[in-house]
Amino acid sequence: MALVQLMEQGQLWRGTQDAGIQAEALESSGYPELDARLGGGWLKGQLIELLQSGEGRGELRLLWPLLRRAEPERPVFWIDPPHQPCALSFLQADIRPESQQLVRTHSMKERLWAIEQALKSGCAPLVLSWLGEQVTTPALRRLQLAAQTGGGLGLIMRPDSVRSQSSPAAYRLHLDSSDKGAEVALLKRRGGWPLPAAAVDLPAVI
Amino acid sequence: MRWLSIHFPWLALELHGLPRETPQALLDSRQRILLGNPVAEAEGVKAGQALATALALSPELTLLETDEARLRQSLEQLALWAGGFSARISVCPPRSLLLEIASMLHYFGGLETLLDQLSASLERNGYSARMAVGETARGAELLARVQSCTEADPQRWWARLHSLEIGQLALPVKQSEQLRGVGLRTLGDLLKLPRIELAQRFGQSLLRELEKIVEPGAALPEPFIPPERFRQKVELAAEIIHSQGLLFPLRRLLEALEGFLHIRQQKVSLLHIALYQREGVEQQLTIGHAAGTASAAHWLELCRLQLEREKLKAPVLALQLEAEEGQGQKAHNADLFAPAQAQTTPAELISRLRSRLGAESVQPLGWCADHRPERANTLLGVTAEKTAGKTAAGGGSLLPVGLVRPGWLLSRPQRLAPSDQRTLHWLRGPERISSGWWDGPVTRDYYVARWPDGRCGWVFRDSSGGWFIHGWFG
Repeated sequence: MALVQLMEQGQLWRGTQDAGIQAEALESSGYPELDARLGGGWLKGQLIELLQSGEGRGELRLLWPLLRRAEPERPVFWIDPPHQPCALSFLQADIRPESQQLVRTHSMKERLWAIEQALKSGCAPLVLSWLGEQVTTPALRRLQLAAQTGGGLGLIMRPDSVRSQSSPAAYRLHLDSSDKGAEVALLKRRGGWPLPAAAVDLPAVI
Repeated sequence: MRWLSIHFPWLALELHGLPRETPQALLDSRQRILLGNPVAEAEGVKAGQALATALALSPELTLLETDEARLRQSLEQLALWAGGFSARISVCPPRSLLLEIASMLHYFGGLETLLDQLSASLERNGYSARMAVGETARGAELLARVQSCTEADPQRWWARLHSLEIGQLALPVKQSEQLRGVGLRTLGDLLKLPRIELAQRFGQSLLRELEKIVEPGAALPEPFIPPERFRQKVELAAEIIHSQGLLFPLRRLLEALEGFLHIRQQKVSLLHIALYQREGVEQQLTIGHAAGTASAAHWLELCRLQLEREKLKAPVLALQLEAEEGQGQKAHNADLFAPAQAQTTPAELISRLRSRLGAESVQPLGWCADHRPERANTLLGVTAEKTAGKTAAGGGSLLPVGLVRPGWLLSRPQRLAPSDQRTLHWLRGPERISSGWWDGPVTRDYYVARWPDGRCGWVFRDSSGGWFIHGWFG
């Protein structure tokens, strides 16, 4: 049977072809060059894993466009950030601090529970969380399912030492920086092959 | 008006909240069986039996005692619960409730749905009940005592009522014996006789009673007036050792609370639960909901989370639920086209997180005008939340211009190794931040620096010449 026939019958799916995703199902990342590589933006209801070594590479500036969309009735939940987010820097970036809900837990079990609750609730467009190396794959799968139930985006920051491990998250990004600026590599994405590192034009520090 | 009577044949047993599968019986003052639950009856326990006989038939039998006051109290709790289904409720001691339902049928979408919802709710709370509808209040009540009756057709309903036996009319014992003595068997027989002669022979009281049974508009039962504040207590038949075991009795109280609030169109945001324990110990729990709710399911979920963290000091004998004063509930219409995902509001989510993680664990980020970075960055506490909007709104105009602040602030400045310091690329600085002599003085020169691997940090040199990292430009 010829390849053309198979495609006509719909038995073959081509990775590069637009999977028919509606524009409403996408959340723009706010950076046109990144959106283009993601195929229009983040697909809602998915887990995003952001890998990097150490804070200060632009991970917050990468999220600024998403954080700006938070409202008191649709807040962003920050679950156990490694440091204190600075309210003044948010105000300067036109982000409402009162729409950022900070959650502190006491153990890994509680942290995973809180992330799952926030993702599942469907009232948070974005849930930010920080997990170390030890998180098990079943735990991550639970979070991916919770994100699908709630329809929001779940962003998990992890050290880049877990880069070689597999993950049930829909997206995996590696954020790196040099004196020229920040670079994002797409290790895993929906509807496409991994993409190598490319520069993202983040707002300047000063 | 149409009436629905709910009769609780085993209320005196079920108010103790024991599992239904265990045989239970009630004892009277002469140590005889007064009432057995269906399991006990299946084992041969009957009313009037001597205690020894009953125990021989059913060795596992749990014996319970109930006084009139407790029976009355639990019937009133049920009346509160019924507030979720009807606006006009009457209590008919010892074991029945009357609900006016004509006005509610349209809301619930028919009698069948209403009855289904009532039975489902009773089942959840561990009550068994017989329900009977009726054209007259007293008629429905008498029918429910004998059998379930959901007859919607008036003609057939009247036939059912007329077939009630004399002994089932709750007349004084002497009077019903007299009536049977003259050869009358059912209510129908009685009604065929001329009223005047009945009155002559058996007195006006019989006539008044008959009128109550058959005249739709005769004497309306007195409506139940709920108390001003919700404060209900239950005593437990068995001591509860595990906090999770409290959920079942709590559910009954919370459903009563829901009915109480429903009738007043209110919601509450704070509940106090008192646990009365052995040796006079009393433990208090306070459970809050950020936006306030009336829903028993929501409150039960919050209680469950809180109880998971709570350790009981001693076995619990009784518990009391008290609600803070309610706030007006804005009636909102459910939107048919509302997105299916928004089942939970942020306030509900925050309440749930706080119940398990502690009241201080979820806080919105706040900002106050202080030039020292540690002080400018604050968390808005639970109580300060309401002012959050104001601070932020005012903050916009007061926003300092030209200051560079990092996205991350380290809770404790970290010492910078001299070897690292030499590799840094200085982007900006210094910015002098000083004073605060009134509460911990600082004199620092802040710089923005880039690390060789591209990270950007906020570093400072203090008055003694030491270098520290205070933040990262995330």
